[in-house]
Amino acid sequence: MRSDCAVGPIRDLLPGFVHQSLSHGDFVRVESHLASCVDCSAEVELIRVAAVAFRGPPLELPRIVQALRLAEVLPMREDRAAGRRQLRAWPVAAVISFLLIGGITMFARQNAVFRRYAGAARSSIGGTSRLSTEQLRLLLGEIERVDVRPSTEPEAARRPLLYPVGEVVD
Amino acid sequence: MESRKLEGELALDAALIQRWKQGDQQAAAELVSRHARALARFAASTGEREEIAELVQDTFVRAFNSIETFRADSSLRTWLFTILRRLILDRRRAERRHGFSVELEEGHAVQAYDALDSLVADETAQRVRVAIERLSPLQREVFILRVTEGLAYGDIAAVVGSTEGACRVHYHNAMRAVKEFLDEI
Repeated sequence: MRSDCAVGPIRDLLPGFVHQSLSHGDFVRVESHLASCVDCSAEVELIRVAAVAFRGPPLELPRIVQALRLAEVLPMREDRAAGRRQLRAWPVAAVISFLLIGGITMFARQNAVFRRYAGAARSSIGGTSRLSTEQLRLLLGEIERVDVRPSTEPEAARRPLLYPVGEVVD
Repeated sequence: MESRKLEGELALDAALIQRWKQGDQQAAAELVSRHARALARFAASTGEREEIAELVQDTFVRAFNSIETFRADSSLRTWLFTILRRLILDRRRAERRHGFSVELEEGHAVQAYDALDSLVADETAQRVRVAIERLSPLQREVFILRVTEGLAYGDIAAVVGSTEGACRVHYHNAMRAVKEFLDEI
């Protein structure tokens, strides 16, 4: 039963020949080849046998059709389930919205407070410049009159120091 | 190349889908009638033992729920095979997670379908089944879709998530392996 036929394209057509799914031209071509090729004829027989070698269990076709009718209802059920999921998501969405809005409000309020204190700080710094030119001159003159000399002598201790030997040093 | 019946089949499916979308329940029944057995056959050939009817039913339910996403660049049956295969793989993954492996072993489906042996009375057919069961899972899928369902390589590639060229190679390797096995016994 070994096939040594080298006509590859014809061998590719053999299943189609068995299932009668070839075009008329191909069908005739295969038919004429089979008349002279023992190997391909044997392969056609093998395909015919293999085609009926497997059978599924008996099916209840009306039951499948009934299942299809029920399945038409399923999308509606899924929609309802999606609705329930949406309902469950509501509290989460509310909490997130609350936190978001609260956060934005607090940020805005803090910014407003900052601006207010910043303005006050600026005005208090500006107060030092309210001295008149005359007052400033007087102030500078007073500063110049202050005699500042560096001290080279150590400052005497204000209290007598006690040494362990008992001597008192003034 | 393969277009003798195919165009008629595609046109009929398209018309039935259109009718079903317009609310014609009879169209749904006809679509189920046209494709359910092929789906059950494919599920059986991949080694599924139980709940094949449920798998087929789930395939139709999924397909009909997402019929709007169906593009007519492949046939409806190809699309249904793709959905069914995905369901089978999902189920196997789930079963593996729950601790019992259902990896397809050689001869698995043959043992599972002993009860159906009377249906496949012919001895040659049984030997061919054994030979097919010895193929690797991917080879078996490609071989079954090609031989049992007559799908084109492009459609098979769409179902198993591979390329047309790779599917052609898988098919010819599978055919050679089946012949060698039949020669040996």
